Amino acid sequence: MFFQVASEQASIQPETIFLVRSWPVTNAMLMGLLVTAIIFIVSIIITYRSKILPSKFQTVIEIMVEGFFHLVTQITGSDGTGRKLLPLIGAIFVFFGMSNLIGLVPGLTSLTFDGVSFLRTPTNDFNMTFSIALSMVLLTQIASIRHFGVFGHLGKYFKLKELIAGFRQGIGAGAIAFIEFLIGLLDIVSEVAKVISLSLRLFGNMYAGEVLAAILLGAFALAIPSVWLVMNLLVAVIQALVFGALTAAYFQLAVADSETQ
Amino acid sequence: MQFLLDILAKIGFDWHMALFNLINFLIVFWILKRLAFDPVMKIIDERQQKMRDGIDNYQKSKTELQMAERKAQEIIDEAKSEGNKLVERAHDAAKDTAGQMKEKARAEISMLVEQAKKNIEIDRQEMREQLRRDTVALVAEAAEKIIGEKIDTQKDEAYITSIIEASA
Repeated sequence: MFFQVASEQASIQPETIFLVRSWPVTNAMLMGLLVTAIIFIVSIIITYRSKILPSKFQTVIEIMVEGFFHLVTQITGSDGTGRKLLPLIGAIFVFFGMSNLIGLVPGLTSLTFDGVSFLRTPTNDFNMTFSIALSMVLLTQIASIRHFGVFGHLGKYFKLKELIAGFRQGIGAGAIAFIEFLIGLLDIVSEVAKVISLSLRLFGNMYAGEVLAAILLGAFALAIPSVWLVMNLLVAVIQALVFGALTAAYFQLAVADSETQ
Repeated sequence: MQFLLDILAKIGFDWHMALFNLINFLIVFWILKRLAFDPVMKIIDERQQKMRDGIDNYQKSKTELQMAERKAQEIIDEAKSEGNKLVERAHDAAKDTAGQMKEKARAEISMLVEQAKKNIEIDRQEMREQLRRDTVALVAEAAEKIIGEKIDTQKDEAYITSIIEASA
């Protein structure tokens, strides 16, 4: 049909382009390296062009950094913690934001090598979202251990002390303490769920976006895919922001006292 | 656990790729921290510090200016009061000087008047003497013409003078 373009739907797994010894190098990994290179070049420009009297470029960068700093400070509720977390949350936003957006650059994902797409949106690879989500949740655990100590941290999940104290007070208080003990055990599941929800949210959104774009391109080649791609721009930025903001919130929850949670 | 890994494998999980992506992200984190966030935050902090310093300096200068203005006003007030005192003193001095000068002028005038009076008296005496002498000479000359002969000058003069003095 005139208004239809046959386009292949992206597979759920990234395609291996070549192997380095036994390590597969996928198209998503190559795009990830391209994103890293771009970030590196832009960062060098930022470093060498930073002055007390800012240029237009520096002003834009400073507005973004300050905006992020305020966002992280609002989430964590503390200026000091915000300052500490800014590079991490900022890196998540920049890396995921660019990884999401780079797939929308026309022609970039159309480059092929040996019949396989040479580059693929990095966040369309579950390995990327999962590895970073897992490392972030592990970091929150480490932050909690540093803040409360090992036993204090474990005490958040295994509320044995409260259980014994509850039953000493009476059956009613004991029953409530037992429920709290079970909730504490459920918190372990919620930590695992954090990894799954963080990784699958981003991966699902980006992968679904690409699949839907391919379907729309196959059905209506002209107007609708472009609208969808414009919306994907927004989704790409929002998803990166959500990932960063949730990570900051998890850090805050990990180091917050139980009374303030 | 195996069940979870099976599910993950179905959506493309591979620990090689996951590890690579994690390392890649750590590199990005390091780059952004060292080359972007830290320098930008440093610049922002420096600028804010400069602005704070500027505001502090402005407040300090404002306070100093107010103090200087107050001090200047005090000096002006003091100068005004000192000036007024000086003018008053000058007025008094001028008054004194004027009084003294008036007194001196009055004394001088009195002295001049006295002198003039004395001169007038002297002149009057001289004129009287002159008049007497002229009258004597005139009378002697008239008598000589009437009598027709020269009489003794010294005797005539003594005689006429005694007549004049007797008639005066």
